[in-house]
Amino acid sequence: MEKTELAIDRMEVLRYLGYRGHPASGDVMVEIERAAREILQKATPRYICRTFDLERKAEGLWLAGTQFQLEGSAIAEHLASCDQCVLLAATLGYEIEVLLSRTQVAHMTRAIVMDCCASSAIEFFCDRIETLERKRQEDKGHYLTGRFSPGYGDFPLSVQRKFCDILDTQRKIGLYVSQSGLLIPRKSVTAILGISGCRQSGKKRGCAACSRAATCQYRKDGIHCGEEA
Amino acid sequence: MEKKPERTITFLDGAMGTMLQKQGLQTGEKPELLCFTHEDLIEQIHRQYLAAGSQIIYTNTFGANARKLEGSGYGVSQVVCKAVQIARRACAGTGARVALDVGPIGELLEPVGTLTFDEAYSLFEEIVTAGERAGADLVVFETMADLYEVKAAVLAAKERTKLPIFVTMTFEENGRTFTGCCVESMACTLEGLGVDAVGINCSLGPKEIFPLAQRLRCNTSLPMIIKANAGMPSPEDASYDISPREFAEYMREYGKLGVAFLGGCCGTTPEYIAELVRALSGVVCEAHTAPLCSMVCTPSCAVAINEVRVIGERLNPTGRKQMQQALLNQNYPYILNLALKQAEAGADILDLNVGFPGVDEAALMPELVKRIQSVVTTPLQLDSSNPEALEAGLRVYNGKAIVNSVNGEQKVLDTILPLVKKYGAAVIGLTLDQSGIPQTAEERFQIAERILHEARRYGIPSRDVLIDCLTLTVSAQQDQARETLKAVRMVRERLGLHTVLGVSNISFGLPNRELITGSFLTQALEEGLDLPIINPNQSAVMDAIAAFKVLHGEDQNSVRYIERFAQISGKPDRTQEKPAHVVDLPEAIEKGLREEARVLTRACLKDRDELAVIQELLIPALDRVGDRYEKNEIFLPQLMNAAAAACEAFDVIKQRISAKGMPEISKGKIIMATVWGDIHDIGKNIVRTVLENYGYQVIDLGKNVPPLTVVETAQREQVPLVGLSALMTTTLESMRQTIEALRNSGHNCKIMVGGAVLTPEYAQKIGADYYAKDAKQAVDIAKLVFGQENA
Repeated sequence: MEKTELAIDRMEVLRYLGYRGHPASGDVMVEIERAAREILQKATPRYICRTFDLERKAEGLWLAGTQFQLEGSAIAEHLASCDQCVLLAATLGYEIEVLLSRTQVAHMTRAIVMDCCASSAIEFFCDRIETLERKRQEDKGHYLTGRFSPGYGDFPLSVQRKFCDILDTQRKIGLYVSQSGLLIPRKSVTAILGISGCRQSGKKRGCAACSRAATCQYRKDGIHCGEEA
Repeated sequence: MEKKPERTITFLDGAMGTMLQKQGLQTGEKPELLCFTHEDLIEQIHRQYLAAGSQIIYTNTFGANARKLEGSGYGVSQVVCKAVQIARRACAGTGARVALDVGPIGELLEPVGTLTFDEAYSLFEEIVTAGERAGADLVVFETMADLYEVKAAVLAAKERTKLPIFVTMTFEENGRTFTGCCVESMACTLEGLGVDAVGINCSLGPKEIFPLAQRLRCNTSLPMIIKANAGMPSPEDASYDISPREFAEYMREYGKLGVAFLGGCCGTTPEYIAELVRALSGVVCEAHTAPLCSMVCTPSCAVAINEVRVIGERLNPTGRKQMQQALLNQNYPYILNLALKQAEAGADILDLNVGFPGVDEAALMPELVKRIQSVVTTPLQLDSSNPEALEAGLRVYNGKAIVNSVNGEQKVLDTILPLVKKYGAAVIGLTLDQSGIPQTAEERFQIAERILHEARRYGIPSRDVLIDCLTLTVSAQQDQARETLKAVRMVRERLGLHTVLGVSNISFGLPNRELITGSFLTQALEEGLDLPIINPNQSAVMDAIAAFKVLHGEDQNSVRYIERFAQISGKPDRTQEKPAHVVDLPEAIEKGLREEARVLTRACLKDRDELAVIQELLIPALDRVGDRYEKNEIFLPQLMNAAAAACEAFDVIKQRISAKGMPEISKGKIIMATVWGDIHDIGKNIVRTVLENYGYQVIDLGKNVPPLTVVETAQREQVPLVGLSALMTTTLESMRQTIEALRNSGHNCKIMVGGAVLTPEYAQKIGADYYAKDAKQAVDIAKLVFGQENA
């Protein structure tokens, strides 16, 4: 729940806007600056992290001391070398949602740019938390895996409710889950990071583990999301 | 003066969850179920609190709602009944009372969430009726973050039980809940709704809550409740940082503040309560006596009527053709834009009137209240003479509204005032009655007096009665302007009430209306008018108010005045921003230049008719933009800028058409909706904007739209094309159900679908006719469905 500064990666925003390396005109860059400023001003970033022991039972992987089973082979693989894990939930807060709705009424372009800025901001926020957490673990001689979220691979989106209940996100950071399993506010992230005694490869999570693998526009175009066409 | 009987502080209990965790409750386990598995443990905890001195204990039912109990094998009434029984048993012989404890449902309500107000109401209804049956003495809604959810809860308890109602919400140190609700808005909304006690619990320790409690004290006459945490939580583990003794020391301050109910929240145990009781036993809590300020609010915006407050008049179809069309066509974006423009121009309150022949007022009023509140935080004034429409609007309104209006006619008073009381609104009383508008100030004053008397008889405090002394058109009844002004002063001085005037009426039929309106406004303000209903987008009028506030000391050190005019003079010169040369309208569209598009459209209309401008200039330009977008020559921001410029051009054309009294241009009706359960609507809104550019009439049903709403609208409006969007894999099922419902209804229409997780294959699988990758394809599909010859 500590406060951490936020930032917005302009290149990432352009990528979200579909530019993929094409140069953007000056007025678009001006719009991005303006939107980024407003997002940073209105965001109330909050997060919560909690460490759990992992328990391997015959019927699968569990968070020890809870009734939360980590279903699917993808998360099991992600946590293969780990005895513990960190559950992370982070959000940019309620006001961003209202700002995005309001902006859509009169300035659709601005709203689209803001939406992309907010997506970049929540990613940045998670990166910052991950770095802090990594440092904390490394001080104890442990290593941290990357973030793995519900919806990646066969780790189902339907765990969001339980995930957030366990962290008590509604009370602690104002993060809710709708009946259809959506995180609300929308500019929020939940993720699991494994804690291991051995150094992690640092390799990037591939497309196979991504929830968008089947429908990704980048893949349809034969490229990857980190690349610029 | 009669002295109220003295009352000492009543002690509540401390945390239940903390005690259960100490006994080994697992993370994620439902504490309410321990009522069945560990009945004795729950009873023991109650007894420990009673032994420590608690006089009201909370049942172990914080999460006992149908959503949270789903899949647990237990029903709400079963859990509630058991928990109340246990608490009752623990209290036997102690004289302590049992409070049915009700926490948040755990899902966020509309508009940011998906849970509807009615669903929330039903969920709470189930709990409170079970609690009353089981024998609870009162109900407490606690740890609430969303004022809208609280309103649903309070209405359920008021309408379905006779239980006294306590409410505590949970705030961060900045004095707002996670959903942005401020202390003042909580106070004024809940006092209006008629709860029995109001307060703050959880999130913070007694030290951090204190300044918030002081703010609450200034804004409510209700008994106050404070249940603070045992300090702030440690980031390392779940422990809290102050001892029982320190806790009690801090809580002494609340005794001085006159708080009536004190207890503990997270981290507190029977020792904390015992210390608290020791420190504050026998302390008298003084009743609040200071007069409260008139106030209206939304959750995040409380407007105190302690200075001139502007009521925006533009959300009213009377004499406004475009607004009339928008209401008839359910053109919500137009209406939302009007609301936003007024708020941005400085309106403090917005009047909302949806009454027009052909409009179902009782259906449209709540719909628009909800939609406007999803984008504007300015409080609303619901303007209607239809009691059904007023009640429907008041029910879903989030905060405290104004009702416009009642008058001196007894029948009207007896119909509307009970609604005002029930929903805790303020009310405008027009100084007229069944015999019409009196011609003298004295007679109008008498009606005002009668309205006040009746309002008080219905239990409405006088601070919530606002009087409209009625502006008559000076060109028709010249002597009446002075009578109105005189009446304003009389009401202000003799009754001490706030006054309202629809200022603009004064100048009908005269040239240079703004001058007359502005002059009358200044005079009326001088007589004591503090709620002018005006067009805030006329800067001359707003300037006059800004100046008045300086001259009357409402704007201290002229800060706001200086800011207002610094902004204007500091504005960059628009001409320098413009590119050197824009040749024609198509170019202005393609470059996304809104102002230029507007000017050039007017020029084009000089030698072409409206349809020609659309067909020969606008559409070809939009087509070129669409092609370039498809070829990756331009990108989404430019596409949308072009769409925005085209909207400006369309606006000019529409105004021209409606001024000529010609029928509206529509190439056909299209429904757009983000499906039930999904709230990602930016993609849908992009498509809507572009379709509107091409002259289609889009009925935008918004987000989280139930299948039935889509079907009913499609049938009622005879819509040939329906566009559905969903962004998440989890809501694709809902899209499938919507399509199925449309097909089963027998309504003949084409369906196009889109959204990030969709594929053409999946679209086909769920029975859609078309898959639209983006807005450009949606337009191509529309052309196909409605016929090219038309396009």
